[in-house]
Amino acid sequence: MRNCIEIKGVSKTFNKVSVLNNINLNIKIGEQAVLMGRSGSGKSTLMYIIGGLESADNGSIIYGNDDILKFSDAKMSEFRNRSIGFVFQFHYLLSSLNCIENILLPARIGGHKIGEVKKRVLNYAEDLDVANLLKKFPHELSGGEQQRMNILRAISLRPKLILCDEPTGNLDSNNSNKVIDLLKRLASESNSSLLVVTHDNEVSDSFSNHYNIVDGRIS
Amino acid sequence: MKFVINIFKILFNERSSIRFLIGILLGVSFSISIILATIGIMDGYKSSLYKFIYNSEGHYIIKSKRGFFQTPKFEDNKKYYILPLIESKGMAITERNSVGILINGVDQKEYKKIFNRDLTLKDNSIVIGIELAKKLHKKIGDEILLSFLSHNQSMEAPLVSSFIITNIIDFGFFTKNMRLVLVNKEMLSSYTSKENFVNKILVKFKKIVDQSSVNKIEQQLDYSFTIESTLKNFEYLIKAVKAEKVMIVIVLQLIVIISVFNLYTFINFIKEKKLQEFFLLKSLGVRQSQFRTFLILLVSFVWASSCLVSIGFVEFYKYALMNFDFLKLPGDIYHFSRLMLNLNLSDYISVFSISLFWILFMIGFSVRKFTSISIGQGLKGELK
Repeated sequence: MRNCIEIKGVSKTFNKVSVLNNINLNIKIGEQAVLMGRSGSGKSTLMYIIGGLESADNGSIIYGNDDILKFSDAKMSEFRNRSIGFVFQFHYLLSSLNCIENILLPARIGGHKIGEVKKRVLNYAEDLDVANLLKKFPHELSGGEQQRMNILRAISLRPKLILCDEPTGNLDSNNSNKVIDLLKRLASESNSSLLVVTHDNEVSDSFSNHYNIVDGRIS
Repeated sequence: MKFVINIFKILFNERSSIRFLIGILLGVSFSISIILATIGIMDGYKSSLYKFIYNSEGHYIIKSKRGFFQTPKFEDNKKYYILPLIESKGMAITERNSVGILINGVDQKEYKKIFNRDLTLKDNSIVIGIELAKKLHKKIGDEILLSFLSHNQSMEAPLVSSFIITNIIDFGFFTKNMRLVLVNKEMLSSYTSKENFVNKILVKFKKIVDQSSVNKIEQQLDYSFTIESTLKNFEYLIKAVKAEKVMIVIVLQLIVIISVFNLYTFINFIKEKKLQEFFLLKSLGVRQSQFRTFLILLVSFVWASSCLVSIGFVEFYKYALMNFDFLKLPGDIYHFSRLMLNLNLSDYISVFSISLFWILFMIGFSVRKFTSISIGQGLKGELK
């Protein structure tokens, strides 16, 4: 199976403290994996670097035939918009927009056909049982509902790689299971790779592929 | 542009942000308008002074060291008017008080031609300024007693004669309104016993002052004559106004800087309140360059709107200065009782440019910091 993303020798230092140290990791196309580690181990940093939200000090991340760490501002923005779906621990929904407007933000930013994306999002929303909430504002929703909107926004453009940073961190176990099942199902449907950062054993047990990060190294 | 409007709608959806933005806009525009008004007052003062001097004394004064002289014939005088007159000093006397005055004996027709004022100057008539009329409690038709020099060396005592006030006019500025009186030239010359002689000639150019014509006039006069600009008496005042204008513009930069600090506060307010939203949009694919464009356009919008609003403020100040009584000046100190705002395009351009410079200078720091952190840090609110 071909690699979706290939991480070679990536290191990162924050304030002279080494957070990632020569990371090498391959994520296959369609692979669903969990990245585990203790708090401060660097797992979120690695996730942010893969998603183009953080820079690396050295190394390379190959996506297709390109090293994303060498992308220009415009190309990196396009990569974030078209290829990556990021599910944050905190939903980061814009309070000034209603849910459907929030979900359609990546499509609007990237200049995609809104009608097409909206149709797809409505199908997903029905699957997730939140179709009736789309016109509500984020503050009118529960934590689980907000996280589902967050997921809908991340997958709205059918990205090749879905990155989830502690997606269940603020949810109870019932909602956690629902969200993880949902992510796996959506990733399978669109043949996207799924990488979930978590320190929750229950979540990690539901994945067959595990990567552990200890002291900035993949073990 | 659509993208910029969309970001604006997203980030400024809340009323508090819009109110803050409006407050900043008004603050900056008020500061700009104060600087414009100050420059306008200085320029207005200078141009009013010039205008009133030219309208009451012309551009140049010709005098002779011999005192009285016969009016020379000037060739090529199509560009200017001349007004030969007899000038004398004296006192206006009433039962209550007396005031030192400057008497100008002029020909009614010649005076009208040069200053465009229709006066009645018969033998015993007199035209006085509005301030003198107030001081002496006189009105048109009243009698006024003048004591004045005869200019006849054989007579030692001053002459005393009664006149009827035929006009009370506004010469334009306080000193003239208080001191200058106009009488019939022939009548005055009969007192001096120097018929067809004058002791002063006013030269007023029809359009603009033409230096070559002034030189020609000089060439036509013999060594005993002097020709001086009517501005000479106000030379120091004009220099002082010019120096004050420069100083005030420098000092008033502080006002702009303070208001720009408000804008800086606003950008910080956005940073604090909208930081995660900014970086979320970036994480979803908005480019750094698009954000830079947005911030530049936002600042430019604030600046341009402030400039427009400041023009409105300036127009209000103009109206207020001309119409509100509490903004009247003591004319004996400032020559005029009203200040005028006189601003030209270069004044607007320079003040607007200076304010733009300060805005960009201050905001540059803030925006640079804003765009130097990673999206990850921005989302976590790690901007320091």
